[in-house]
Amino acid sequence: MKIYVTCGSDSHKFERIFKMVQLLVKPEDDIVMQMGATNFDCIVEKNNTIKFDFLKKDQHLYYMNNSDLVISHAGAGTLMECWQCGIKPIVLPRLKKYDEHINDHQLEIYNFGLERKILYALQDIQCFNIQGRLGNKYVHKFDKVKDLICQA
Amino acid sequence: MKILFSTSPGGHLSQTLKLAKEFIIEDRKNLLILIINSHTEIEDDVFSEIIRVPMKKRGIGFFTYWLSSLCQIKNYKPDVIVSFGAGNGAITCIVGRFLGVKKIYFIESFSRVNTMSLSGKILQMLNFVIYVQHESVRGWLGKKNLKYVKTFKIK
Repeated sequence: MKIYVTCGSDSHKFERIFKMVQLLVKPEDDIVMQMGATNFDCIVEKNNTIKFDFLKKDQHLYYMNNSDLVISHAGAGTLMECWQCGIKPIVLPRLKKYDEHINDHQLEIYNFGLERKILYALQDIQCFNIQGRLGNKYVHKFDKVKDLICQA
Repeated sequence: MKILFSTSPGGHLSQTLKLAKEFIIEDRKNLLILIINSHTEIEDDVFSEIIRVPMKKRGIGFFTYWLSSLCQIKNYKPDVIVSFGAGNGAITCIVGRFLGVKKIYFIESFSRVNTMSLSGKILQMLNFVIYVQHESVRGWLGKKNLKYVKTFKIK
């Protein structure tokens, strides 16, 4: 199984997501990890693992679209990209109490996605044998904002 | 039309890029300028100018936001200022009003489903109109100066 783990461009570390992924991956899984500010070396040695600090947009979208599963922090940019591509990501929000972000605003979009069943909660996942695609694709467009600006 | 975008990296930048692209789809005559507080690579050929300011949020770094916004607004004389946050975007909006820019739009990030950001709250108190992307935020702080704009739907 091809798994893409991404934790965005935030300057805070986010080790928790990699620790949880480590418990769930199998030795035969191929893993690509975009780690941002996180230093974490303990992912299962046997796995075919590629690590990046940051990725260019086209590389990020390539791995997102060419993986069986996407595991992500609850960053608005990444989640919108997933939903626009018809991907149902597995998500763990960054929390202030673990010094993973300056506040807990990621919980809001995380709960938004959970309520609509367009993401999985990482802490509820027992194994990665799940469907990583959505039935629909979603659109996040700003044409109405543009009209507002042009009309005013 | 000269539009000055002011943003932070991550989701703020993603949303800024999406809106900026709306302005170049039909008309390449719009001059789009971006102020961003990071070295994040911006591959899309969208902006005419990209001005990068230091990321520090405290001390001298904090004042560079104000100074940089002041210089860029005086330099480019934008018709419109648009920001999706975070703090540096709010500063650009405040400086823009001080310098007489008539059209200023602060749009709360899509990640703000129920609450407003600190930047949004400060701007709302200063009587700026804030656009929110979720109806669930609209009732916040008595709806004063809050407007909902739908951006998310099933294809």
